[in-house]
Amino acid sequence: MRVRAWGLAWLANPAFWQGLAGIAGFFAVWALAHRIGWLVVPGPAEVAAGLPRLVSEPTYWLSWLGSGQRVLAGFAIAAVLALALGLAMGVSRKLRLTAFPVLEFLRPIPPLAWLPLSILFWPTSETTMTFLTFMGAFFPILISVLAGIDRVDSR
Amino acid sequence: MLGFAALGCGLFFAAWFLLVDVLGLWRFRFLPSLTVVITQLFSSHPRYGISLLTPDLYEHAWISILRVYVAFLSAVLIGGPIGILLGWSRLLRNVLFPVVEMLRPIPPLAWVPLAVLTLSGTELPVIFVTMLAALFATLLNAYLGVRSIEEVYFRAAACLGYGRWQVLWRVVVPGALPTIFTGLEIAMGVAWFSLVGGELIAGKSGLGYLIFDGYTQIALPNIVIGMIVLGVLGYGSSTMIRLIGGRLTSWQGRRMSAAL
Repeated sequence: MRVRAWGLAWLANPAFWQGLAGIAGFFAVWALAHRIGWLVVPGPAEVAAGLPRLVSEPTYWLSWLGSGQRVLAGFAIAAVLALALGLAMGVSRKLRLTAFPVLEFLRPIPPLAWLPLSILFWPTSETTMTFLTFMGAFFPILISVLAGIDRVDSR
Repeated sequence: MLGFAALGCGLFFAAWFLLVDVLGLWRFRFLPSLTVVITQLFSSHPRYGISLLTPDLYEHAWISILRVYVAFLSAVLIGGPIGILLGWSRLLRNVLFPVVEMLRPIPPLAWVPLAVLTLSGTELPVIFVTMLAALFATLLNAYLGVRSIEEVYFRAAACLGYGRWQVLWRVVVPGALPTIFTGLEIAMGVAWFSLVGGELIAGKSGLGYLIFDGYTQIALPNIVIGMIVLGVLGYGSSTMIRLIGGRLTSWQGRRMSAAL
């Protein structure tokens, strides 16, 4: 009762401790694999020791900012275009019949396979990266929009 | 129907031809031209060594297919059972699910450096990276499939006196199968996606390598040929799984239509 009153009910929940044991087990396996030489990569202790130096470097935080901006931009452009195209294809049956085969042809091409063409086409590396992020987000959104439109009751 | 499809494809190729071959506006002039790609695609002596009539293309494609299917099968064999067990046993779920959820958001390609450093040879890192995303997709959908089984079936099984293992085989596995197949379809898609990344960075053969090699060697038609083959193979693999899944879970469709 007292535990719950303090807003610490999760401490009394066995699921929390079991989850903690799972994560602790993961790090233990990682440390062990490093210790016995199965992993040439650093163990968890070395990674933890390297963290303070890393977070004190401005480039580390700039990489957060850069990646965040690219994901946001790529996703936002993909969302707007996929929504617009998806809605247009939902409204016009002719447009849907015309555009769908082309899109079905392009969709299974992995986003990364566009890398060489986008390096050739886009003037800067920034636009190239944003375009690849866009390619990764565009088709899943479009498919969901089309599926959502199909689910609308025709009544 | 077919008329519209032809119109769509025609417009696509016309736009490509017009923008790249004829006008060459802006940066479109840096892209491979449609006429060159088509002539190279069907040439018996292609300028850059790759066409539908050369064995090299099929060697690259075959290596990629092998990698994807080895990775996909390992993902299914590991991820399927683990996902079902996680859905079935609460203790396992509580212990392992946080670890799964901790690792799952890491993009497969972010594992490439670790895989190259840790695993020996060139094949293992590529297959490992290809497997990762597929593994999480199968695991998660197997888990969700088990969780989505209605309580009624478990109670019916209990009334029939099923033991714990009988419940697993007769209720849990068949009940989760439709969701598992959704997961397999996703897994096949992401396997092809990550394969390209793995091959770009770590491979010395395969379609992903072919595409990037086309870039570094300035053999632009090879880039497009590689993309086309990747698209066709990816599409074919997904369709195959959908067909198998449809057959194995046809009772589900019948039940649904009976309910309607």
